[in-house]
Amino acid sequence: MAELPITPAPLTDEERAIYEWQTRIPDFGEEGQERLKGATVLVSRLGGLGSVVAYELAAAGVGRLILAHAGNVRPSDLNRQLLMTHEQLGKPRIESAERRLHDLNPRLEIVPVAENISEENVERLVGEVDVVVDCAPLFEERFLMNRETVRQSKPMVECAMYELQAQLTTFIPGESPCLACLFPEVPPAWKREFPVFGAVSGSVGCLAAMETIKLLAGIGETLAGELLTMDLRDMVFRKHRISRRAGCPVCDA
Amino acid sequence: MNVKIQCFAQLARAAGASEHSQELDEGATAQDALRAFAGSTTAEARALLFNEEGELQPTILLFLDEEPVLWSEAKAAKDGSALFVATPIAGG
Repeated sequence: MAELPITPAPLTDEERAIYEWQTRIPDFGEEGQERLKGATVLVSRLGGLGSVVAYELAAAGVGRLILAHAGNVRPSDLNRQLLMTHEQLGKPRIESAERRLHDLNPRLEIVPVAENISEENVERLVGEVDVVVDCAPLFEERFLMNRETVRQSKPMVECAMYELQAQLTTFIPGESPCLACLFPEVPPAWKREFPVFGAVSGSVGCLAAMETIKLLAGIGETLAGELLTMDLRDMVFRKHRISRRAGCPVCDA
Repeated sequence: MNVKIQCFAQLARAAGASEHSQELDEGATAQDALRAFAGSTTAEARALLFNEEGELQPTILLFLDEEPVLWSEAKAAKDGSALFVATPIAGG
């Protein structure tokens, strides 16, 4: 895909020292690090997926994260939502996330949004970022972000998990299918709560963060046009080709 | 001929295993393989795949040997093919 229109931000000496191990990567270098610093990413929901995505992006030195997640920390969050802590039980998730991320990277600019993606906020939030990472539990939210990223021509990294299985792809408007090409309607059988290990959501969350870093820095090959599925029960990873759906009401309207 | 049915996510749970072996007549398609599998699996798995009118649920993803399958277009399988069948998943 064409390089994203990101204005690189110059590094300080402190940042050069912190990111030394990754700026040694030949096709990334200091130029790639400056692109990460100049970038903004929206992570929708900070559950098992989004917690790990946000943590890895904060560690990598992305300059600005917009984080959207409503509600308070519950005991059942703590097996996988790694930005939530025991002492924050009953308190807003977004506060717990902000604190944990700033412990790791105090230079990170965080825009905390204590609400989930909705018709009211999706256009504005997507409009402020370079890449969206979809970690939402409900297809209604996923479809909103899909529609808006297609409309604003912005890439969206799409990750999901269930039990010991997970999947990942990257949607690039005009180049790859979109979410509505794969799923033309809200799946009737999908339930808001489902079984999963934190190690499964964490695994695919790390891979989603890497897709995002590649998009921002303009390195490597993304999963655009391919769906990666992984079964961690037997460690089988597969890549399937996915195609745009003729007549898709979102990307082929 | 024999086609492997590889079930992903809720379908694997409902069907009791992630991989199944399906015997089919020569010349069978991916669509034939899925219908034969639906006829031999659990009622729960069948309901994830097909609605009460016997139509494929539109959110099921099908890949024959890693290539996408459109339900409306017959796609020939061969002996040893793998039909990957995924029910939709999200985050949380």
